[in-house]
Amino acid sequence: MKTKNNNQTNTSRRLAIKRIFAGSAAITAGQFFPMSQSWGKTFLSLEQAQAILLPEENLYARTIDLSDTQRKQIAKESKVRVRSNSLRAWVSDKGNWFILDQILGKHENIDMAVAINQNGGVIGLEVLTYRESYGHEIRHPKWRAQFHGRTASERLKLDRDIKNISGATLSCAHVTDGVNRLLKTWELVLSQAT
Amino acid sequence: MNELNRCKPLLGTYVEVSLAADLSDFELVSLSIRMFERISTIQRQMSFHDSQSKLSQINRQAINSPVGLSQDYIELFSIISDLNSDSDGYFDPSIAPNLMQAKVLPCNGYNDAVYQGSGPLEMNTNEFGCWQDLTLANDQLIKRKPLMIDLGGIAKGYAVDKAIELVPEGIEACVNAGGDLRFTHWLNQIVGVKHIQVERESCDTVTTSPIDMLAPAIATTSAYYYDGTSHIVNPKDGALQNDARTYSVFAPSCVLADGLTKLACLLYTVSNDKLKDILASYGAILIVTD
Repeated sequence: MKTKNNNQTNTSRRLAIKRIFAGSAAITAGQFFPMSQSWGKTFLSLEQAQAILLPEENLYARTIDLSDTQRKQIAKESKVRVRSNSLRAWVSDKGNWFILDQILGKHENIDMAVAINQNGGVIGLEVLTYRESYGHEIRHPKWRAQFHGRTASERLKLDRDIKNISGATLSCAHVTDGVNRLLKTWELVLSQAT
Repeated sequence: MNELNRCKPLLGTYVEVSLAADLSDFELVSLSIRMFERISTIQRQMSFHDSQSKLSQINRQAINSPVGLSQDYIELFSIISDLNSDSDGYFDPSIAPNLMQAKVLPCNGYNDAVYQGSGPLEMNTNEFGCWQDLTLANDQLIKRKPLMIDLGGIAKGYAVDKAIELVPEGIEACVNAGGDLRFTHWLNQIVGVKHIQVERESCDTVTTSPIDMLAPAIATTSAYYYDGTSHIVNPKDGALQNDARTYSVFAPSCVLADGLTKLACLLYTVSNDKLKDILASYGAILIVTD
């Protein structure tokens, strides 16, 4: 019993110590090795995007599976990599297409909707969700407001969510690539699928 | 209160329009369509990358041959002329040849009309004139020397302002064009500033804790070498700026915030007093992140 009690005590102590170290490690990580954060924004819902891009058109869901040959051909002719072998798409009673697609850029991850008319032209495009890895948050930044007697520390509002970020402009080139890929997909696959 | 948030790829970046009002979905969507269309109109006029844009026509135009300007150009060029004059020429969009040489801007289509040399990448950028070599009179622009303009340093801010101007009173709106943004109701709004720490081996992106908006608009610019080059040219010597800081400017309008960030990049270390005077004259506030 004594041994057992000792073991229990030792076990409890070890657990307690482990918890303390785990807590310390977490705090330390928070202070010196902050976790990278992603920032995201949701814009239109799928239904809203459909109503805006193809108003008053009846849409019928289609799951489009691309063969390896089709993927290679789309990639070759659009000069854009085709990551997925299936496509979430809707066709309207007027022959227009609504496609839900995902763009994986260098910095951003985007869900977008593209509407293509029966002649293969873009009707419109909406970004539905936008996620960007923006690194850790500077809680004690070396930044400063200039000139008007203000200091940045006066302006810190740590308890509020940021909805808008101002930064050096991020290029939307990956969306352009994605649209080119979908237009080629329409030409090679969707235009013959209705 | 009904809300609508939309985002489209425009102006070479992601443009967000956020609206909130006691209006129907249809009314908010209709307003957002008009705002995006206004921005598209400015993009079609002022894109360096579009060979059919008015800007490309200006850049191709021979010297001493007048080009008619739209109201948007007249308004924007007036603001640019003020910034150019107030900064003794430090704000100058005629640095396009330097950006072409640095491969920041494409060179296609300009070989014949503007430059008679063997190729744009071998061109002597000293052969080009500056903003002072432009004459604006009677809604027409005349180049007195060969020169090419890039409006990438200010047109986004202008487009944001024009979209915001369409918002009727009583509707809360924000337009954010890749970090150049403006609110209709800016008091109590917050914003974070994104900064890239280039001094580290891997370029770490960090974001400041949220700060209150200090004016209706904010824009942010940096001149660090990212992806191999800087996008800020010093018009005095044609050199690309290399600076680890991120400059954000709060201003009464987004076009001023956008333009003044370029001056902040150029003047912060070389002429701080001059920069201070310029910012004060425009009612602008600079925040530097480093």
